[in-house]
Amino acid sequence: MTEGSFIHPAIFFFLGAAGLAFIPVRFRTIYLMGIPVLAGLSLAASTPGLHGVYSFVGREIILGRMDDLSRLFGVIFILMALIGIIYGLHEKEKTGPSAAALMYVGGALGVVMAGDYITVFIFSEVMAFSSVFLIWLKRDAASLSAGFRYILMHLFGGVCLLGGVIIRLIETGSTAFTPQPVEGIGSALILIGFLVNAAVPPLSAWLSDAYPEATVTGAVFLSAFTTKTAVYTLIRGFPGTEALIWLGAVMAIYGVVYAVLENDIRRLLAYHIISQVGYMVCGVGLGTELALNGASAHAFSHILYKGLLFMGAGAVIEMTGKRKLTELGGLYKTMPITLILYMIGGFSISAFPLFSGFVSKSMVVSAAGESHQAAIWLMLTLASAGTFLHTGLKLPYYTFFGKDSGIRTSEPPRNMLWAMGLAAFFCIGIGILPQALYALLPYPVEYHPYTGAHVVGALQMLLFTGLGFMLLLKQLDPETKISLDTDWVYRKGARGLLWLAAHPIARADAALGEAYLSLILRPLERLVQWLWVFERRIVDGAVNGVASLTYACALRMRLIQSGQIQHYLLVMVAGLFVLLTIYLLLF
Amino acid sequence: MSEQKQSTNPKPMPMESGGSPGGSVPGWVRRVEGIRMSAGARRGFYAVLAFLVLLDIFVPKEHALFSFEALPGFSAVYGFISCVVIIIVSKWFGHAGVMTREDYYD
Repeated sequence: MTEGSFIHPAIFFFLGAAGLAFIPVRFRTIYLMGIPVLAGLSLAASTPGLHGVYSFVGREIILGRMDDLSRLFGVIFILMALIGIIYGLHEKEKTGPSAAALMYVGGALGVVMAGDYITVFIFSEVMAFSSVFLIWLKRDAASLSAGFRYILMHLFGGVCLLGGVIIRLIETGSTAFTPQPVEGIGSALILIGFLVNAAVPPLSAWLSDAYPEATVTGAVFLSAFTTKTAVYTLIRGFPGTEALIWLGAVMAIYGVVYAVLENDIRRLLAYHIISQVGYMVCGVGLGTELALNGASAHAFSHILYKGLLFMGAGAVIEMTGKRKLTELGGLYKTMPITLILYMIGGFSISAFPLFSGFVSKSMVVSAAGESHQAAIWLMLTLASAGTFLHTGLKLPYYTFFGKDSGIRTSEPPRNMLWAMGLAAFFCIGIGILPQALYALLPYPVEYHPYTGAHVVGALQMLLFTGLGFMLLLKQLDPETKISLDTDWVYRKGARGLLWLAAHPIARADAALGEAYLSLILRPLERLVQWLWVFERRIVDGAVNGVASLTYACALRMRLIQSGQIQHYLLVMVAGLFVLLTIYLLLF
Repeated sequence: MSEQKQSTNPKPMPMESGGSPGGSVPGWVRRVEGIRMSAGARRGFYAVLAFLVLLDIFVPKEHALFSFEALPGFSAVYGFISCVVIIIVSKWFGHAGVMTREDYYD
């Protein structure tokens, strides 16, 4: 516990969400934009150390752990919240979507400043339950069911996390959120909980399923917070876990492969979130200072350029009402500014020199090289080519150029362009002045992205990918198809389960009931019937027999009761005589 | 990057969301379109590619982590192969049964 100033930045978001309904509409803009500004000031004023330490059911709760890593994620979350809020300012329906987004950001800030697992769990649940409204508020059947699948997957992850935390607590007596080796079921369950949130295949389908069904502004928020919070928790909890190296590299390629097949513009971008988070997961697995710096830096720049790409795609959807590449085309004529801003995001994610991805992604790739992981290095580099191919070439080509769809629209509302411009400004700023980002990283940085070999190598890589795109353009034409992902298991598989319940299980249940009836109930019934007969004939008969005998004897005995003493004497003498006779005869 | 000519007279379509009419395309956009369609652009692009590979021979590579990384033009070849492999393998994967009709889940 350190003395020093600390106001938790999440408080501004939670209170802001609670107060939203009471603010008159004409003050909403200033109110909404004031929240991230105040949170940013409180973050800037906070001193490193542990703050907000409480005791809860005998456990230590640490609400505010402030160090370089949590500050880095705090800065980017608050900046992205400001950008997202500006992007959504034109929306007529303000209260619901804004409240959900503010709660969601608050939850993310809560997780990255949590010092113990109980706090991590609580804020993760806040994130899951507020973010699902960013999907549901699109208010159509597809988003309703996608939202339910989204929340169920996050509940699964949350249950894994909670179970793991409790088992770890019993085993080690600690809920501290600190680096740990994966040994025993407790830490393994915690890791699974984090991997669900990081969308690591095969637990990734919730992301590509739900994000394209969110509202235009909602998807911008979603693209930034859940997976990057998960990357933070992995950096904090499981650095150097070797399995993550391979999971991350496979993930980077997995997202790229699905992006080739995709027709829905935001689902294509969603698959590239999975791909990009793969680099970060890989960096966490490598676990060296350069790799962890790279994962953190890439999370930072990824939030900005992915937010920018989702804003660009959202602007297209907002203005045209269309979301498929096969229905779009030729929009550069009427949305040139959107195109340019989108392309800044596209160049950033593709790691073009002078754009943000170049200075962050290459840290992870170089870390793989320094760890002598040649296969990982080649996989990550291959995925880079795929990233440029889809996000930088295919999507903008078929949306803004390609076959003219005949759609004539206009640029999106000015606030959307401002938000995109702000994100684009930071994408280029980080690319030109990487030292500004490097200064925020958790470890000291001795990495120089702008060497001659690196710049020339990256440009060759990207432009020859462009050559491949030109030559194979016809192959890439989008198809009006959807691709099956692991969500098949719970979308079709669940139907299989229902069929199983309705047919074989129901039949087995009926057969079991029948068997019970004929093997147990019927014989039991017969036994009872027999017992009833026994009871009536034998038991009752015996009792009644004794009773009627007694009664009959009593009737006869009554005759002796004459009231005359001589008769009584006679009976007594006779009785004595009988007893004596019996006695003499028997003994 | 496409050599395909854009239709100069886009047929009028119903307005999607009350934007500016198709006629008011800014001048600089029309100029970009002009460059895009020129055959010279393709030749210029090839020249840049060749220049980059040439440059790669002379760039010092004392920091190369793997021996193959230091080969001149390695990134160019690997980038091109990556692109082709990704497209072909993914499309094969998609057509092997992963891609299905849009109303599959309905």
